[in-house]
Amino acid sequence: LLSVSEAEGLSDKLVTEMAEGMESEELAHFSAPAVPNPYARKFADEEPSDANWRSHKKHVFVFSNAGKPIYSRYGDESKLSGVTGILSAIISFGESEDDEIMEIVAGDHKFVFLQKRPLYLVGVAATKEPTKHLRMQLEYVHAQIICLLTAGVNKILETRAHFDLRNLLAGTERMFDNLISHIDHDPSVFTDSMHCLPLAPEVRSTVGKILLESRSPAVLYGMLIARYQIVNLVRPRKHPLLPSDVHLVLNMVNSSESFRSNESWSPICLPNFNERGFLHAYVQFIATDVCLLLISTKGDSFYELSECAKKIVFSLNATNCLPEIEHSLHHGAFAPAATGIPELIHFMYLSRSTRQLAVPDFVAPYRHRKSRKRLFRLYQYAYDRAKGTELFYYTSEFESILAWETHHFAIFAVFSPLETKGILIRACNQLLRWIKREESRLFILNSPVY
Amino acid sequence: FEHEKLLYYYPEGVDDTTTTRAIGLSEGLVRFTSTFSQDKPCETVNFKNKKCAFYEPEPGLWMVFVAGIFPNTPVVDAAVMHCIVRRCYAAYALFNGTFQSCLDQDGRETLRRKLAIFIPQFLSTYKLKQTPFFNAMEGISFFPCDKNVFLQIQCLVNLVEKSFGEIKETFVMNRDLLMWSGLEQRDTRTLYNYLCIATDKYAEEESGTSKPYLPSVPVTGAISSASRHELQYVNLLRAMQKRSGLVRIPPRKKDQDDKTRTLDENLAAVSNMYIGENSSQKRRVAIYSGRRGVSCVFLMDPEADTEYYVLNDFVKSHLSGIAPHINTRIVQTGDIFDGKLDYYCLYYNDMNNAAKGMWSTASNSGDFTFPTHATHAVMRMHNDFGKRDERPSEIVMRTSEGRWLVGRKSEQRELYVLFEDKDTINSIIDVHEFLQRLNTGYFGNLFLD
Repeated sequence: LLSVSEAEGLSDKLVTEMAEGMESEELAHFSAPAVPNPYARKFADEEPSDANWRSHKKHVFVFSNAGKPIYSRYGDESKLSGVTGILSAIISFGESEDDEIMEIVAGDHKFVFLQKRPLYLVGVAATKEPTKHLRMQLEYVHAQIICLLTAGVNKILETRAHFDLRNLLAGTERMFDNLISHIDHDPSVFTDSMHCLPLAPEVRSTVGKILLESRSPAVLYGMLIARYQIVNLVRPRKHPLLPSDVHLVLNMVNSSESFRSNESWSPICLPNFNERGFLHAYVQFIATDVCLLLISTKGDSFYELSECAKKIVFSLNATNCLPEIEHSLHHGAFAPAATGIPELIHFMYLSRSTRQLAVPDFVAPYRHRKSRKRLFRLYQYAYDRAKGTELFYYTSEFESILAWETHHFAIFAVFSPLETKGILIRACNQLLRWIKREESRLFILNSPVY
Repeated sequence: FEHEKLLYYYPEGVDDTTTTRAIGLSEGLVRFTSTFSQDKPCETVNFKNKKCAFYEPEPGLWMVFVAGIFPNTPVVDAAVMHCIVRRCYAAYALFNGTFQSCLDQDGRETLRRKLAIFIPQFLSTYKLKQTPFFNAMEGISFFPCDKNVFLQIQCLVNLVEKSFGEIKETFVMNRDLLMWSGLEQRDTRTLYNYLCIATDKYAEEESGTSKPYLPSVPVTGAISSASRHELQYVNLLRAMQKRSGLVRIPPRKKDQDDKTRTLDENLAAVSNMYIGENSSQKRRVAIYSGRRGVSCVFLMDPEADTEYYVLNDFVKSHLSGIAPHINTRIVQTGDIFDGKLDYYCLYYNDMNNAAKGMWSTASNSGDFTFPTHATHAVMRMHNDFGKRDERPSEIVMRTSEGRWLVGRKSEQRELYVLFEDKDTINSIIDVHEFLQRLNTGYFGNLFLD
């Protein structure tokens, strides 16, 4: 495994060697476990000729510029070369005219194209999402490939056009499936922000202190994660961790059952940090759903990081932080009514300076999956339309939503459609005041830096 | 073979390889998208440097309109592109019947020739910049008739149709405002759009003076060998500009006997139009273009004979009685805020395609044009009202410049108001209040809160 500095300036030969080496050694880490996978991909048997396959609401295809399928959200990739072949031909038509195809619209369907030569990504969606969001999802899928293989994958395909990238990605399909599914449920992704676990400020700062003081020299980033929420993290002063990298980390940790059993040591590439080389992640679940993650540039620092982790866990237990964290994880979600505003049925608050999102729990009328999904799509729509405006109001039979945008924050507040506009404005102002009062509990205001 | 499938390509003079490739790609796109979207075919294809609108007016026959995207130039809206291509087809079908009927009766080469002559005429008369955005909603401006005027028009139409039995349908316009149509909705819209081209409004804007606008086509390709009959789309418009009564009839010279008056040889021997389902009903058409902006279109049985001079004089004498009443009705609807508030308002009714614009006297009191900076936002709202599953009833936004834009939909009626006044309208509550006043004042509370 190569460090960041070593990964740069690789010759083609070395890259090929690396690919071949990876095929044999590293694959052992990524490949499916020996026992039959109880989470086998549900629609993996479908083919393009199946009406069922065609009627999925969102397809994602990844293929090489030779038209070879690499990943498909639904269906058996080996049967998809017909589809990817046509897509490849459409793309090359654009290229032959010195142009680039971006999007096709047919009724409710959108076909969005993203070219990251030598990789091509196409999304086919009947979800009525804004095109920008579909393209952002494709960017994440691409970033996930880089996360697993680094940008070196481009060189592999450029020198060996018919190389079957599926060999390198075997066993990781669930990670992609999970990522796409997560992006379709979690508004922190399309708002380019992160969720934080609501926590008493003292507890959070204790965790921060522990991470900072226990940090050993090999640790680049250290973070404590609870499912898809950050508890706290320590970082170098000059290299903040961007939300897009954070989401890849969260996806990795939450996609694989194998991380939960023991200490794990995994290569990971963070595209925003450096797309050309691997970092190395030490992963340990210290409680159900609570995970400690230490990232290093040094490939040989497992033992050092393991010792560091021991110290952290010890201190967390000594200061009684862990029960607080677990309590918050299982009982800490607050209802919209906690804001003291009875008319408010849901909201989304985006803090632009910290790039963090606060979202309450779902209560009636959003208890069921279908209505939650509809609300998610509404937030997507409002976020997209409210851009460039100061205020955006939208009402239908279902609900009214008010979006208020400034340089410092964006707020999306949802009410019953019967409420008057006066009530909405008053409620929004109240909500802002409540957020301000609660901000040290809802957000990580000052994560420790070194 | 691809080159056999091509019926028309603009611009002229493009080599076969390019056109064949374009057809191949278009077919590929249509086929591929139909595997996922079975009911709704390919509509729009966006590249970095161009946009394409796809339209299938008849089974198996496609029209593709490609617009370039250039730096520092606003990108044309997809809805506007679709509007243009639909209008092109509708206008063609009005004057020529369907593509398929031509293919069936006269063959592919005839259709190719017809398109090569028709489409340049259409393009030469279509001013992209001057498409008021609400025309992309296919809106028709109705003449504000009171009972009197309406009854008088109805009387005129009945009289003419009774006296001249060959007249099947009548259509009356005043400038760009529709007064009466005996046609179905779709044909009404197409004929309305065509006659709007002939109105003086475009003439003034085009030439910067009040000289009439005389449409013409560049004489290249198939046009150079086109007969007068084939150029009737453009020639009719030119003739209507003269506003001298029934098109084809030259004005009577002093003491001239009707028998010695010859029909205007510059025009089609017979103007034909095709209306109804599948553009299958043929009509012989006489257009009366009168003074003071009134136009009457008489659609007649193609087999019957008509005494044109008699018809001309008949219509002239009856119109002269009504015309003064009509023109006094053209006053701008009063400003409900008495010039104290700067606003623009657009009303659209999907049931009859009625569109009406109003604006405050505080602002530019010239012709109604909704400010361009807001048109894109209004089109998106219109789209949202139509496409969003929740069926929204109201959308309000405050732009970063502080202007407020409101859209409301009630059943099939839509109302859009742009408030330019940043001082008087400070909050969404103010917007609400002013909108209520408009609602109560003009719209009889149609747009309930």
